[in-house]
Amino acid sequence: MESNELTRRQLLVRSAVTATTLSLSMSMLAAARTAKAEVNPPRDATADNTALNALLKAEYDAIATYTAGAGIIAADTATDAGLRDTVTKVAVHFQDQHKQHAAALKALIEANGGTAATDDGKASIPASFSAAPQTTTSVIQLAADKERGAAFTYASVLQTISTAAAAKLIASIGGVESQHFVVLYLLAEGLIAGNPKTNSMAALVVPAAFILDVGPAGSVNLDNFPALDQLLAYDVKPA
Amino acid sequence: MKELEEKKPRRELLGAGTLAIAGALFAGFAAACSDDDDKDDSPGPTPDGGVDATVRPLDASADTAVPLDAAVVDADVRVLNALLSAEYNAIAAYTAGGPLVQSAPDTDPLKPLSATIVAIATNIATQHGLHAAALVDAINALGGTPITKESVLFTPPAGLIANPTITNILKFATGAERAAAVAYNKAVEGLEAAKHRYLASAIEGDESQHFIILAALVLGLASPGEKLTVTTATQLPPKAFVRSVGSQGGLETLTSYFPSA
Repeated sequence: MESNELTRRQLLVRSAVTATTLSLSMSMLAAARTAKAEVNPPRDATADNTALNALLKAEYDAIATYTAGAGIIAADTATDAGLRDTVTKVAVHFQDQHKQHAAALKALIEANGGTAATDDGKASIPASFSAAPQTTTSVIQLAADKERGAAFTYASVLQTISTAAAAKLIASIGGVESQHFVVLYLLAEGLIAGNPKTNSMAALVVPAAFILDVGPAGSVNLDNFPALDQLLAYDVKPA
Repeated sequence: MKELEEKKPRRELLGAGTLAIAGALFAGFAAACSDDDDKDDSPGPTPDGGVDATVRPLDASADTAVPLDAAVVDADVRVLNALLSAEYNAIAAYTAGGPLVQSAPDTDPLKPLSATIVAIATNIATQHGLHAAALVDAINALGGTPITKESVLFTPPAGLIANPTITNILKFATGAERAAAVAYNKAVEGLEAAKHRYLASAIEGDESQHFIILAALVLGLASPGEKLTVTTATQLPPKAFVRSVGSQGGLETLTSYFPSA
């Protein structure tokens, strides 16, 4: 009990206004008046489709890149089979999430009255990768490059996107690409390593395909994820 | 129906729940506008993963292409201030949590990793500080008044107080970063000005990285790599923004393993 008190004192950081936060919420609603506000940029759902189609093409590229990468990993017999299996499972999981991103982008483009870009199934691979030894490590690095590009591109696009629906979807995907990137980057840099749980629970390595509920039916989002709630429930002190 | 929804101000779409979440936490490219979007004339991916198009860096104080009216400014200031409150709360939480991790008993299963965990937490807290600074800049640029760090109260949850193990501290932080990513995404949907949506997204991506790093650690989904030390922990994650904000470089400033040219 005493230690709990001490803990509380340690954890409590002073000063006012949790209430301010709540009042901000209420004020926010009050601010939701129907004034003819100019917005930046002016809303134009069809104009958003150019950007959405560019992102869709990048998703197709990511899917094809993971397919190509899986083939390289399978052929890399110089690398430990267990490691290759783990990397492949995570890669297939990430690829599946890219497929869900593509489906969501395609659906929004079509809802906006546009025509979605088609998938040519080809991966855009830099010449510098092709010239390097084809190993499991190089595939991880290539994937990290791709995911890094995706992460910052999704943020960049928001400078020109005009509609709330597109902004929500783009941010929901971009947040996941960011997770893909950091996992692959830390792995490539030797800052984290796979273990048996990585292999057996690969679907939890970036557990949700979207941040919010914007994906196709059955997709997982970080906002509403009861299984994750359970995993993150506090351990209770033994009696 | 959809068209009607799209014409609603974004601030109408951003309900009280979003800001409540934000407040309770832790307590491009310039695509050429085409007249005919049915044509598939969008830029394609570049070999190193970006999209082949021009992007402009965000300067939170830069003028916008279309002037924002007072209602929009007012609404965005409120959202940005709610996010700022959450950032201050996060900093306070990490500040409080660090000593608890360091002083955990030797019997704590994660005690051997405590120094590394604190180093990672310190890096993450530093990044939250950079987020807060960027939000302050954006609010000031709108003529608003940023809330102060001192005005934010952090109260840990009872479950954590009852059993403040390193695992529970990490679970708390993981949940808070998850909530942050969600809150920023909802803010992106609700903010009126493109430059604010960009800022929120650039931060959201980082919060999202915080989440998965901490989740991997606490759920045992990855092990510390051979190069992970208290020094290299500053790479977890490597940047505070997924794309540059002001003078803070984003992920685009990292060197590609395989450059395309």
